[in-house]
Amino acid sequence: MPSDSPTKISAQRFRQWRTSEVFDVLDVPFSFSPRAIPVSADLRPAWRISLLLLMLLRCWGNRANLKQLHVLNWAMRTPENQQIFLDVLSDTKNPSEAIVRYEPSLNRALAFALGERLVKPLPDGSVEFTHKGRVRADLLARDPECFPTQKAFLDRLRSKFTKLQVDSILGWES
Amino acid sequence: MALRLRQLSIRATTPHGQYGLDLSFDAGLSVVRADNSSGKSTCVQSIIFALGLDGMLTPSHTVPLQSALIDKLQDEGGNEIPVIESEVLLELENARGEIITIQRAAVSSSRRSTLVTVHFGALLTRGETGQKRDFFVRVEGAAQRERGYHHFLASYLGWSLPTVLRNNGTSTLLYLECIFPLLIVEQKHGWSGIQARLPIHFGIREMGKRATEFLLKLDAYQIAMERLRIDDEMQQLKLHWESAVKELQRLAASVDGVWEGLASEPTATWPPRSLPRVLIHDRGTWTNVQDVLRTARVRLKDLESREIPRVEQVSDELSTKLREREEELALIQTALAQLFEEVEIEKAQIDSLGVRVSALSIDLRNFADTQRLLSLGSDSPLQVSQGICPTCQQHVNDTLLPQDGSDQAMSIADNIGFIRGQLQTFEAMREDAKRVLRGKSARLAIARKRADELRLEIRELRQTLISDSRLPSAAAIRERLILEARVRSLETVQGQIAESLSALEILSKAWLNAQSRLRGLQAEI
Repeated sequence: MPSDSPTKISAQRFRQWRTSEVFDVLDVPFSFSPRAIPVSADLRPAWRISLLLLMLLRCWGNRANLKQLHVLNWAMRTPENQQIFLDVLSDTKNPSEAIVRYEPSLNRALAFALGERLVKPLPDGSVEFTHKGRVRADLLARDPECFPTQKAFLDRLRSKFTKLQVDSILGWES
Repeated sequence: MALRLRQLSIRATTPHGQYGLDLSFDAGLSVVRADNSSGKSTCVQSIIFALGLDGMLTPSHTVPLQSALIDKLQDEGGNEIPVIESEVLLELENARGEIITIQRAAVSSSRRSTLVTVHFGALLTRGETGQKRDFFVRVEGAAQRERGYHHFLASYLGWSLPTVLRNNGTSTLLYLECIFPLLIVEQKHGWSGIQARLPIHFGIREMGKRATEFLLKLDAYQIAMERLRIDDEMQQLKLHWESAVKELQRLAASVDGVWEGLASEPTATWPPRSLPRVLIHDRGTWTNVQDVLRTARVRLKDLESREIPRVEQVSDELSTKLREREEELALIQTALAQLFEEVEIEKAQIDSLGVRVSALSIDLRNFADTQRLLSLGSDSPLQVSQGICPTCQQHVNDTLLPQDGSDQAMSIADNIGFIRGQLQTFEAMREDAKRVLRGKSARLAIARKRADELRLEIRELRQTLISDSRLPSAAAIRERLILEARVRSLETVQGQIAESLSALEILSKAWLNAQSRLRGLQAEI
């Protein structure tokens, strides 16, 4: 290849570039604009709050404490969890096999639900529906299109979920 | 179109004889052009009158026609002549091709204007005088009772009229008088406002809306039905195509070949830019089936032309061959080990892509829920979903992650698009990996088969070499037999492939036809 071919010259030239020259080329105005980040649906307040309302609907007396909600929330997450949960409830599995994970996002969803006045706190630390919350929960329960899989799971619970059952799953003495 | 006007005839009897006019309409658009006050509006009104729709013009029960049909008409000389009797005849054809002729008297001493006679036949254009039947119109029950003219007309049009609410809370049928104003535009007040003048004296709630819905739904329903039919047809075609492709793949596999350019789903363009072809892995390269067959035939012919050699004649040749085969076997065994590993890697890749795709699908379904939730409680929306904290009314991010205020969460719609994009990518990757796996599995199978063949050949070469040197060479006999079988099977498969490909061509034409019909439907919407 002849030494004066254009590619060769520019490659040489590039090697000879001094840092200051690079900055000369780069010295143009630039700006950063923030891009929205994707957040999965189960971390969206609207989704989780709605699920929370549906869970509360399946709790005994339509009241639940934090433990109850966390256990249901954990059970709902995957089909495997659902099966373990049902098995422990029906005494076919040892509670020690249920490794319940607490999700901080549920706490935040509950905080939002309290803020939205969908649920209200009770003196013993559990929550129950406000009128507004109950209306919304019934609306959700009636709508055939939303939460089909989650509702199918909740419908498999033979009776309403009690505080006692929570303790049996968590393996705690009540 | 549910209704076509074929001919309109207006007759007026006067002391000076019969006056009248005949207007025949061909299929398609008809334009009637004439000077002012020469009777264009009279014609339109006569059509309305014949259809018994005078209620859409006026609530009064007088006959709403021009005086030329009621009172007196002017002859060519401008003389006024009194009208003794007058009637309107209208020949119609519906979507089923049934032709009827309507006869309704405007002025008559013997027939009331509330009586409509329907002749079942083309009375005006073909002079058919078939069965006839009288119906009543403009009286209570005309739309609902058996002898009601509009009851008859609605079923003739193939319409089942919806039940609607009246202002007083009772329900009633949506009368034809409420629907036709949308189809017949009165232009007496100029063209500035051509909105339908709907009759308000029926006291039907939201009549315009109901009538519009009814008319649009007619089309929408038929389009939806047609669409379902086409979808069904395309589904069928797809199944046929898939089974044809499966058959073709089986054929190719029977001669250790794979397809190149064979679409697994129906395509509308046939023949494709390059016709799909079968490639056979032949000593390290993929070769077209025709070429393989040609070489095999040439070789066979060559062998047949020669006498089967005795061992002593070919022992040198056989030794060389033995060495070559042993070397090839060694190479193939190395390749086999590598291929096996690659196939396993590809399988693992497909599994992990499957996990990713199913996770994304679940997320997508949850997002569908989320979107539905937003519309579900739209009368009392959650403040969080609007970016407002319900407690302190400050901005809040639409997420349950810690609210550290830095990252803005993507909007639901954007996020759905984002996930769809990912899903498409991962599905495409999975399809690609599956294709690679198919190719590699095929190569693995071929390599295994070749290794078996080589082992057999090596054994026979060895046996031949140690056998009596005056015997015919067993290796040569074997080669000839194998080659014969190979040529035979290639020939059969080639014939069958041509047949199956022509089946694909027919399917492709049907697919194109269905697709263009579907596109036509979309254009209509």
